[in-house]
Formats: sequence, structure tokens, C-alpha cells
Amino acid sequence: MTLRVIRAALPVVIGYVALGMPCGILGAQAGMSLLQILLLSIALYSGSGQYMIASLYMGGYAPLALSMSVVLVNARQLLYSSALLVRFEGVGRGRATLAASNITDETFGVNMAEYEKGGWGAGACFGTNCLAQATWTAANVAGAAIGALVPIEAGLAAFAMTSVFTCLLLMQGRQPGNLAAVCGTAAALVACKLAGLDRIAVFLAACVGIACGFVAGRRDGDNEQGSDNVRGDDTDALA
Amino acid sequence: MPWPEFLLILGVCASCTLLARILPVALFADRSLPPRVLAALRYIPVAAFTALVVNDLFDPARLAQGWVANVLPLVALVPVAVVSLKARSLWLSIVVGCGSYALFSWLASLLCGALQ
Repeated sequence: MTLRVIRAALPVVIGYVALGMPCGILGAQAGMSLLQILLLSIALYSGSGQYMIASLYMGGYAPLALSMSVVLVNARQLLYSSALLVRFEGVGRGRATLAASNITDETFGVNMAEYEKGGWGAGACFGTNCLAQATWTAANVAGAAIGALVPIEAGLAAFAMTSVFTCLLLMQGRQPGNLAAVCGTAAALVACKLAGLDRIAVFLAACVGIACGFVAGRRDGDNEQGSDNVRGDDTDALA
Repeated sequence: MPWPEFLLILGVCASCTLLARILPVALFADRSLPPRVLAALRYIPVAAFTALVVNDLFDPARLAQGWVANVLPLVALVPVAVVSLKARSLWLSIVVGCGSYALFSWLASLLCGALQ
């Protein structure tokens, strides 16, 4: 199981090295000390949040206004924890809460993929999250300490994560409920961003998409089948 | 960053983010949820992954940077989509994604240089 946890976490670990170092560099540029960057990576552990704190602070935002923006962006974490409820059935409340405590966009993705393969539990989920968090923290501190010496193309690093999300999206099933969720989410996200609601766009759009999926799925009978909404064929292909 | 400011930012951001991460599980982990709620929860992954992908691809602020910055990620994602559908491997999606992004960036810079 340890090996499986490492294998599951590796794509995220590599992505976090490439994304964490520029985040640490940006934190240092915003005037944060190594200790502050370390504390932020451990206690907040949020890529988008940490990028926002550094850039908004440099933009002259007041601490409370800046924090509210980060809280809005991170509201989407509510969705991950809710989705994990289905997977944590029968796991004690304490263990389940611990396993959800350090979930991120990326670790949510790989954990859901591992749950689909079967034989995955809250312990493995927490282990994967901790490996990713340790990497993120180390990469941030390394970025702040020696980042300027290592050339990293930030656009390329971000695209690596876009590729992972694309792969995870394409692994989902093709039933009408899912297709409606995709269309509803995409349309709502574009609308949110055009309306200037960038910071809460992911959360709002996903909520709209879930509602669309649920309505279409109910009409189609998908919701009653207990389907996991993932393509059923070839479930061991994820590596 | 002065410590009082930093601690305020850290305290608010970290505590609210932790709450968002644990609240649904902490409140409902031991309870059996109604089937309709469970059915809705199953749409979270597909909606979340769609939102994250479209969020990365569509950025109104980038529109001013010209067509290359906006079209490049879309074009670079085509090989990723093909490989993801065929192989369903996260690893391969990262390798192909980085490779195609680098390749198309290079081609775009060549093309822009030739046009100028």
C-alpha cells in the first residue's frame, strides 16, 4: 500500500515541486521570511491562496481584504470534502476529518481516481495528501531560499496541472448527467469570469454544474442507479 | 512582512480554509445521507474538474496579450486529450502536456518572429 500511495502521489509531487518553488520566490519578493513561508505552506497549504496572498500584498491590499479574497477562492474545498463523504462511508468521523483536512484540487483528483480503482481508504488518502503537502512545503521554502538560481517556466508548470485535470475530466463517464454537468459548469465559469467574479468562479460554476448534472441525471434515471459517474472500462489503467 | 499583519492573514486564511476542508465530513461523516443528496454529491468530481480546466484555459485578462497566449493552451491540450482518452494515465498526460506546450510555444515564437 505504501508503494501505491507513493505512485498515486508522484504526479502531484512533481507538479508541486515545479509550482511550489515559484510560489516561494513570489512570497520572498512580497517580503515574507523563510519562517513565514514555512508556516503558510504548512497551515494554509493552498497554491492559489499563497499566490494570491503574495501578489495582493505587493499590490497594497489590506490584510483583511486580502484574506477575504483567499477565503472566497478556497470555498471550493467544501465541494471536495462533500464528495469524499461518499467515499468515507463507514470510516470513523475522526479519521475521515483528518483525511479531509489537507485535501487540495490535485490530491482530490488522484484520490478519486484511486478510489475508482478500488482498495483505497482514508489512510491511503491521508498518506497521499501528506506526501503532497510535505513536497509543497519543501518546494516553497527551497524556492524562497535558492529559487532565483533555478530556472522554472511557471506557465509550463501550471500547464502540467491543467493536463492532469484534463485527464481526470476525460476519465469521467459519458452519461447525460455528467455531460450536463460539464456544459453547465463550463458555461457558468465563462459567465462568472466575464462578470468579474474570478475569485469565486470555480466554486460557483461547479455548484451550477452539479445542479445541471443532478437535474439531467434524474430525468435520465442515472441518479437512482448508484453510479459513480466514471467510465467503467479499464479501471486499472491509471498509473 | 510584519508579524502582526502576517499572523492576521495566516489566522483568517488558514482557519477558514481548514473549515472548508473538514466541515462537511466533520458534520456528516457518521450519518446516512438521503439518496438524492448522495446522487448530487457524485457530480462534484466532474463539475470540479471541468471548472478547473476551463478556469485555466479561459482568462479574460489574457485576451489583451494577443492570440498566441490565448490559443496556445487550447492547441497544446489537444494531444493531452487524445492521450488521456487512449491511455488514461496521469503520468502520460503530464509528459505529453509539457512536451506539447513547450513545442507549440517554440513554434509560436518562430511564427511570430517570421511575421515581424
